[in-house]
Order: sequence, then structure tokens, then C-alpha cells
Amino acid sequence: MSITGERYLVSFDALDQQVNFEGVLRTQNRVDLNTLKDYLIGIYDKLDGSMRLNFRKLRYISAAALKTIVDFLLYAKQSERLAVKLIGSKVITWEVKTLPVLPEVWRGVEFVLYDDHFYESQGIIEDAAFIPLLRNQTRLLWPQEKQVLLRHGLRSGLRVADICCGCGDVALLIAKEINPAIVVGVDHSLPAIEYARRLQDEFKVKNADFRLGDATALMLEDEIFDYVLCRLSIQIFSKPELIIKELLRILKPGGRVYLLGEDYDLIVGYPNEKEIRRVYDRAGQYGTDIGMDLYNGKKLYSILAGLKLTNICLDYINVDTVNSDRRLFAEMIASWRHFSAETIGRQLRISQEAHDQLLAGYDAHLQTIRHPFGYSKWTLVSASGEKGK
Amino acid sequence: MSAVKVIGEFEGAAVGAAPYVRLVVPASDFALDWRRYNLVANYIAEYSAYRFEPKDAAENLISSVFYELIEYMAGCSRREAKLDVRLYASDRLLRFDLASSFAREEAAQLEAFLREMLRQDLDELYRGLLTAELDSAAGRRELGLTMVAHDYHAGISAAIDEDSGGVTLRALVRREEINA
Repeated sequence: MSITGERYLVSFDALDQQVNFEGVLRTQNRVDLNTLKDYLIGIYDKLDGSMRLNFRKLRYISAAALKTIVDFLLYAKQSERLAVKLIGSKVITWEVKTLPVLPEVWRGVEFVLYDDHFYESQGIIEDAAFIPLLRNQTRLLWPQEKQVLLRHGLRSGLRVADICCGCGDVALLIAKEINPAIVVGVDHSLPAIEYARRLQDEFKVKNADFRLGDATALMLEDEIFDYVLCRLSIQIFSKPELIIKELLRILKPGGRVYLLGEDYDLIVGYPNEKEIRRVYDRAGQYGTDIGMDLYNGKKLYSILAGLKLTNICLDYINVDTVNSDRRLFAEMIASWRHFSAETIGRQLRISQEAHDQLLAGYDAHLQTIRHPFGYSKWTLVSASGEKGK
Repeated sequence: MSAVKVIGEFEGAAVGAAPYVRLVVPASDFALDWRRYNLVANYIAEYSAYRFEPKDAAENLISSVFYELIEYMAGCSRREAKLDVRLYASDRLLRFDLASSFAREEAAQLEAFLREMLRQDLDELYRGLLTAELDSAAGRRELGLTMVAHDYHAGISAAIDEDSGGVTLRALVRREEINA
């Protein structure tokens, strides 16, 4: 959900309940400005807890556009339902000069400079290099995966568990947008769980609970959930059967277990198709060498069928340069590039030549994604099945 | 002999005799395409920013200030007027000068608004404009001038030739605002 105008883009990031402003907002067009105000009000009316307006990528604003933002804040002041946080950047002069004035309009507005205090938890979670990557993946996947989850039986009122929930983005999106009775998120990373709890608190999400735990030895009772998810996780464990056993243990009879898996065989692109194929063959092999399975998407049906689950559903989620934001897609691949060449590559002590070839392959893929006429697709497999009664 | 009225502290800011950059354009160009406000403000800012440190901060400040001043001046200018835009600087100050020709009513409105700005508490004036219903283009232009005065601590003044309608709008911004 976004609006664009002459030189600006305003978009909503559901993960952070944040409206992102980019470009130059100096329109003189009253219709554009009214559309912007209505857009902000429309988002405000749907949220709980807090709403963020992120100006870090807005190079300029005119007084007339600023007035539109203030008009929205006056609307928020009247309803006083949410806290509004304005996020500015230290390196953009107008933001340092002008944004601090806005809290004078309404005390419910807080202005923070991203560089100084914003996301106090960011330092922690960014130490865990994979978490920003997971958040970008969620941004790309959620619009399609939400529909898949609904097709696979997730609905309002269920008791849901998200095992290996990371920093809780998907669990919180499910809690807010699908309204289950409860979502329990479990992850082994304390910074990730702390981050999830902070977001939950800020967005006043009541039907979620985050716990630190080991996915192969969950501190959860038997058969208490109607729906159990495990997304993009069993692929990174060398013994996925240990996790799956736990997923089934906590699932009620008649409940459904949902898995999301990757498959490097299904990543394609043009131009540079040969380079793209080669790099994912190579990166997939390196993953195998350290005990990961980056081809497990095609195996999910067999896994679920082998467990004698019934009513198995299977869907593909296709993130591509047509249905998704090229920039986000490229950011994700850039994170993969780093993870593959630096984290995995160093662990395997690959040669300098192999390291350089890996980087060159990812660069070819990035070039394809960033090229306005380039096409690339990242396909994932969703599979779910029902536990016998 | 023309009667020139001065509102605010127009004189006394010593800057170099030659502008860093000067641009003269037909005021009506902006009515034809409002994107030219952004184009001209950015052009002057990008052209002159190399003379300041830090360059990026200076560019953002210069463009932000000029945008609002150009919008005010072009919006009030006579159709046939030329808008003369200049940026000067000294060790202490940046001086933004914009000259054009106004109809009598527009000149009187500028004078009245600047006198109000000088008389009133600037915080209150700014807050009042930000929270008011601003339906008219004139109201939004005045908000722009107030934003420049308040957020960039600019001294805004004008010289108005009542006979010819010639108006020079001047904003003085301390150089340290670039870093503040």
C-alpha cells in the first residue's frame, strides 16, 4: 500500500507500523496533499499502540506539505488513540530544523533522531546479522503468505504457535491481521525475543506471547495449539525431524502444521541467467556442506505425507521483480551475498577464488534485479497438513 | 523620486559585493509549471554548496530556504515581472536576496505580514499558522516565510518601492545554522 507523486513515494511498512517518506515532497498540487492526508488517516485508524512516520529518506519538504503532516497530527490529536513517533535523520538539515517543532503542536508526538536513540534494540539485533535479513524477507513474503495461510486454514480465534519465530514479525502480523485467540512465538535467540516483546508492547498487541526456547525441546504442553507454523527454519537444522516431532507434539489432533521452505533450484533470472544459476548451485552446495538444506522446498510434501498427515495443501509463493519492490528484493539478495560469502564462506574456508566467484555471481543477480527490464523470481514452497484425530 | 519602505533589518549585513550565484527568470514560468520552484531552489543550492562545509548540510539548508522564498516571491509577482534570485555569503552570514515587481495589494500584504512577524512572538505565530485552516495560497506562502524565520533563525526583511512596485525580499541566515 503506497502512494506516489511527483518525486515522492509514501509507503506503509506493516512490520514496524511505520509510514516511510522518500524523495522530495514539494508538491503544490492540493489534490496530492489531500490524498496524502487521507492516506495517513486511513492507516492511523487501523492501528493500535503507536504509529511511526519515518522521514529519513525524505530529502526535502515544502511548508505546504509540512502543513499537511500537521493537519494529520491534528486529526491524531483529536482522537488521541495512538502515540505518533516522528523519525528524522541527523544528516538531513531540514529534518533537524523543522521536525522538532511538531511536538509543540501536540504532546502525543515524539520526535527522535534515528542516529541517536531510535530502536535502542537495533544495536542488539543488528549484531545478529541474520535478523535484518529475515525482516526484509518478511516484507517481501507477507502480502502473499497471508493469503496462503488463510487458504491453509489459519483463521480468527485459533490458538497458534510460531516456532523459530525470529524477531516475531510474522507472529505479530498474524496477531494483528488474522486475530487468533493467541500466537505463541518461540525462538532460541534472546535478542530476537526481546525485540519481539518490545514491538508487541509498542503496538499494544494483546494476543501474542513470546518465549525463549529450543525448538527441539519446547517447554510447551502437548496438544494445545490448533495451528503450528515453522517458517524458513527446518532448512537450517541438520536434524529437522527433531523439530517436526515437537511441532506435532504441541499440535492438537485435527490441528494443522504449516511449513515454509526454500528451494535454490527455483531461483531464476534474466538477463544473467547462467551466472544466477551457477551462484545458487554453488551457494546451495556450501549450505549443504555446513549441514543446511537450501533445497528443502521440494521435500516438504514428502515430509508431511511421511508423517501421515492428511488434507495436505501445497502452494508456491513467488516473489518476483514484477509483484514486489525491486529495491527490497535487491536488499535481501545483498544480505544473502554477505551471509553466503562472508559467514558461510569463512566457516568453510573457501579459497579466495571461490569467494570472488560467489560475490561476482550475486552481483550478476543484483544487476538483473536492479535493471528496470530485468526479471528475477524467488520461489518458496508452503505446505501444511492435518494431524489425525 | 521613489519612496522605498524598509521593513525589518534590511541593511547592515556585510557580505561580498558579488553574489555566489545569481539567476534571473520570468516569474510567470513558475505559474506555468510549479515544479520549477524545486528545480531552481535545488539548482542554486547544488551550484553553490561546494563553498560551504559540510557541503550536504549547506545544500539542504540553501535549497530549503530558497524554495519558500521563491514560492512567496513568484506567487506574488506581476505576470510580466522578472524574478532576480541571488545568494551572497560572508564568513558569518548567508544572504538570500530575491527581487521582483508586485502589484500594490501584494506589496501591502507583504509589508503587513512582515510587520506582524516583527511584532508577534515568532513561536506563537508559527504555531498559529501550522494549526490554522490555511485555505488560501497566500496563507500557505506566509507559513513558508515563517518556517524559514523560525526553523533557520533567519532575519527576514524587505525593501518595497511603493511607486514602481519593486520588492526585494531578504533573508539572513547565520552560517553556523549549517552545522546546528
